[in-house]
Amino acid sequence: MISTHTLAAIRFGTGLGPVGRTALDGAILWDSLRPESGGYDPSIIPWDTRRARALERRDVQRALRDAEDPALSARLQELNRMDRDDTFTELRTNMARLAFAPVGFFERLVRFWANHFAAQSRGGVLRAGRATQIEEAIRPNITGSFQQMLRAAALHPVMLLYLDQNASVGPFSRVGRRRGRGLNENLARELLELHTLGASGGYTQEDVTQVARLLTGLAVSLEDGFTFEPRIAEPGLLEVFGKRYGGRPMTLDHIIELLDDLALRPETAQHLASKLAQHFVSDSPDPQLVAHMSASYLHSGGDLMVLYRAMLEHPGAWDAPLSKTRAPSEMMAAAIRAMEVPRDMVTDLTSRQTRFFLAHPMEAMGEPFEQVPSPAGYGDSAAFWVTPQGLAARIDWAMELAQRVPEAPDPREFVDIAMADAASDTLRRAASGAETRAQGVGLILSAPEFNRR
Amino acid sequence: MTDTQTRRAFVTRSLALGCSLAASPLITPIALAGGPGENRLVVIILRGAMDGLDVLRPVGDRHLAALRPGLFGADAAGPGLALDDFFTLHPALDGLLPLWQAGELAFVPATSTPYRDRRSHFDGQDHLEAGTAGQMPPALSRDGWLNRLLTLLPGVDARTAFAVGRERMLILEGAAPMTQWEPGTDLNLSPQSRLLLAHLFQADPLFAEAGRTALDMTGATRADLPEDEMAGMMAPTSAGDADGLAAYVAQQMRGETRIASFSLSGWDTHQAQSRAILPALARLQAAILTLRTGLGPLWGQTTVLAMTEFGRTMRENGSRGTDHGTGGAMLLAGGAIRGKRMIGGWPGLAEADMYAGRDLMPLRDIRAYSAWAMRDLFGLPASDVAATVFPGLDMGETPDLLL
Repeated sequence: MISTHTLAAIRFGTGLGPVGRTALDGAILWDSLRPESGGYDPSIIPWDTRRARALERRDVQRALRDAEDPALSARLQELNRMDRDDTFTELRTNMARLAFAPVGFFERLVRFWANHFAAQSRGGVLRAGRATQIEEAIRPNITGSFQQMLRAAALHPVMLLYLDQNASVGPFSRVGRRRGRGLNENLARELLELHTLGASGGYTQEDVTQVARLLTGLAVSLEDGFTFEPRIAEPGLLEVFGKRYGGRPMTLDHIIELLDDLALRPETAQHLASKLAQHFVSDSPDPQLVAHMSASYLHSGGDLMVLYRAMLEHPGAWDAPLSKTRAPSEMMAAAIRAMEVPRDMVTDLTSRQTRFFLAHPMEAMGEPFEQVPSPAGYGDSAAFWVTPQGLAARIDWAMELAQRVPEAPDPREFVDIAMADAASDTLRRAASGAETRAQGVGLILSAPEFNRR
Repeated sequence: MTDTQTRRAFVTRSLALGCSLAASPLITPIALAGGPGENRLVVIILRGAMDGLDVLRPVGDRHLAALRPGLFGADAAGPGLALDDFFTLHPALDGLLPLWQAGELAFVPATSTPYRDRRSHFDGQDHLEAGTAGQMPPALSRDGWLNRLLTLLPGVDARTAFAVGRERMLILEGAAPMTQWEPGTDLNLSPQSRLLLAHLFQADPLFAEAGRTALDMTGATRADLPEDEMAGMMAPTSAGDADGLAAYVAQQMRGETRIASFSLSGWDTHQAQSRAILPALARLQAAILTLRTGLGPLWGQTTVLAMTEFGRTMRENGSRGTDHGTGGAMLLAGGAIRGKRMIGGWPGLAEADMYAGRDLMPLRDIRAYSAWAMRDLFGLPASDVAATVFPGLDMGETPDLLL
């Protein structure tokens, strides 16, 4: 039987290690969630900076298309370099947050919600945006209400651009009538299917269309950022699940009202509870655990802290074995943590080193930084990450890390630091049977057990 | 361990230590009864929007010269390699001429996906790989058409289809099993660690098969390869390493694999196209020739489709390049195809014949060609292809792609 501390650190935190050795349990995990952990890190590039840079890139590219200009070419290269370097900085910041968090439950929740509201920049002049969206919309709302997070994440400019909301115009709006433009249902559909009710949430195509009509007016431009534009907003009352929304004057408030209502639908509660339990506990969590979480969430009116507490206080969250798989960046952070890699060895990496040591390995393991595979995010089953290519990349990186630290620990001791009482006898025997310390440590980090959570 | 010499010594040692050869993808005798058959399909995604008009030059069209004065110069027909009395081939693709002569190369000069007007690479590639049409938002597509094809084939396992390279290949993602692998992936493992790790993976049912495959594919499975091919595969993969990708595909296809896809990028030639397109052309040519060599007699059962997300503008732009367009060319190669011909007609380059007055008019949905190729290669009913692989597609008349 694995101790509560070990389960808490591996299942809900970012892993065992010399950092934060206090005896963890459900209450301490819950208590570790503080709003201030969601504070903005200055190394993450804000949306307005990304936007300004994209705007400049667009103008420079246009000018260069008409005529050659060495100064402008140099400026374009400078912009590209800044965006690239800043993305590597963001990667280091987020890796360090995962690896060195005292408990790590907050950071794990950030990852969960970031995947729930998966979005990325679609390329072109706007080079990056995912880290920005997470920093601005997810982190500040981890300990708040789901309504707040939904507003911030679903209406973030990066999400609006990703899901084509910019292309959606109310057919009977001023612009729609004059130019014959119409709806794009992408955001509306994902809002229902992914962000709130869930695929089995019992909505119809008609609901999607109604929601799409209501969402018109949301707009993003590089010049002005996020705005609400009444001239593209569909006028008139729209009925969604038996309630009427909208009407004149067309304002953002109508949309907020819909989001708040969707957040508190029982289908949404069920969807969020079962997704959260599947993420942390098991591919098929105890139905009573999910029911308890769902009911607590609804009863509290969408309070996420209540949702987390319901999970942590239920025995179903602690009974199951460690059957999930660490995502690539979680495995890397857990390894860095267990190896006691000094923080500045991560944060002071150059762009080149970041690419070699963090970015390329993550990509090879199947989780390229700043990217999501689809609006549904990464799959969350234990099997999702277990591919031959992904495992080869994990082994490769683990062996590299073990050989790079100045003095590799003794594998027989390291197995206790990294896995404690969760280590099997097979793993202990393998660790002590390696030829060198470094290979032994690399083996532990590559082993299925270390890659479970 | 990038050193081939070291690597080969290591492979030999692993063999001596008894790494399981039976699990090797290369030398397992394959029972093909009930399997997906002997035909092979390679789909190459040309990322960045290939300029079909430059690759396959319609010099017989009297409007061409006026559209591309800077790119082709006064004599548009000059440097091209004559294919027929209307089209020439870009001179950098001269290595493909023997294939044309042998009837192993064909083109569809004017085709495209149903994606229109927004001309974004990101969306265009999603459309191309998802195989979706119309109002289906590309971001919604979560599986690719080659993966949906797999669901129709009997006896498919993870080795039947390979996405090769590091890049994400939506075209092969989905519910059916497949393997993504980047050739050149190597592991810095001592033989002892390899054995210990194999043992650890074996102890966890979820990790057992993927772990064994990972160790096999990085380990002692290449003893039967010629040395030069092996050296090619040791080289780290990069955008320029089309050889390595193709050699790896050929190697897999000599074994159990029947379907493979990889991508070649570098086609987004907004500026100085006559220079900028050369590396991409070299990669495409190298990939096809390497496939042909690597597959040997199996080339006769192979169909290669090379396709891009959309074409480029018919008029060159102010920087001697071309911008995002609509219709473009698809290339077919392989011993299985009815080659040495242009398929699907030519829309013409008069302004009135163009799409939106600027782009090549696509004459037929590119999915129809893929659909007919799949039907013919794998003996599938056309109705199944239309229903499952490309829902809603009207396949139309057969273009008789295969021999």
